[in-house]
Amino acid sequence: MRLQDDGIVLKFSAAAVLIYLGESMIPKPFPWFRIGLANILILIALLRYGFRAGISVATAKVLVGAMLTGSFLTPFFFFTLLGTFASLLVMHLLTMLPFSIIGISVAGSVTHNLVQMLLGVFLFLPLTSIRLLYPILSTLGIGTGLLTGIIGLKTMRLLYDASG
Amino acid sequence: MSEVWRGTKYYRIKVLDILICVVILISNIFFIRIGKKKDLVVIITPEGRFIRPLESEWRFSIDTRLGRFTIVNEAGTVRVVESFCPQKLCMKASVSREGGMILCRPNQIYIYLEGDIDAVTR
Repeated sequence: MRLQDDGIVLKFSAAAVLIYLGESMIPKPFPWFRIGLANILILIALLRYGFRAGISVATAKVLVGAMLTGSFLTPFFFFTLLGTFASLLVMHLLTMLPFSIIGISVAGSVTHNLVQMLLGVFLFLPLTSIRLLYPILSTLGIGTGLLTGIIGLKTMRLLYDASG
Repeated sequence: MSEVWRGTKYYRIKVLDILICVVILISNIFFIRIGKKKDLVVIITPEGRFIRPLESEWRFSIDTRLGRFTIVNEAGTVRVVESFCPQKLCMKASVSREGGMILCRPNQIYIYLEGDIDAVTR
């Protein structure tokens, strides 16, 4: 992350919070199910401006998003916190390998789900529920990861190639 | 120039992308496999404890103090077909994958399902 990126990272953070809020207004089949559209912004910030930019956007999304939706410091907040940062870490590690944005997005999305599942199992779910939850959560993760990856790819092309 | 093209190396889909999706999907199958433990029908009688699988079809008879007591498993549903108890309440009950149990007080027989039916799904 370079100094001249600061303003852009701020804009990314604001956009991530906005998308996070917008997504929580969409009716969903389950309260815990979200597409993770705000992760597109984290993904682009990570890939283009580096790990520190990714951390900035992720922190803004988690903290400000939680404060605005009123879930700050509730149990649900810690699930979001842990999931977001675990997926950020995994995505950062994968940027060092020959992955494309799609694969990184899928890995991040699946990590997000699985870390939340593990936290749930650690806190209150019975261990046997992993058997049922793992296939559901990982498959949903692949689906949402592909979606956010494709949108992220299009967004990156739109943002940088047209002006490039 | 490098300013403009930062991050573009992530545009092109690579082999590892497909690989990671496939690996996650395969790990699913592994978890579903683990989940498919066999369910067992446990039959508790005055003469002891008998265990039969729920999947295969079988017929089980035992002589109690009232007479012959027979249960059969037809397509995963266990039912009492022969009992000499007065009220025949046990013949109205059944044991299947959805749960249930058979209790015959006069014969002192208790049939229930043991195994891996998930506590969450129930």
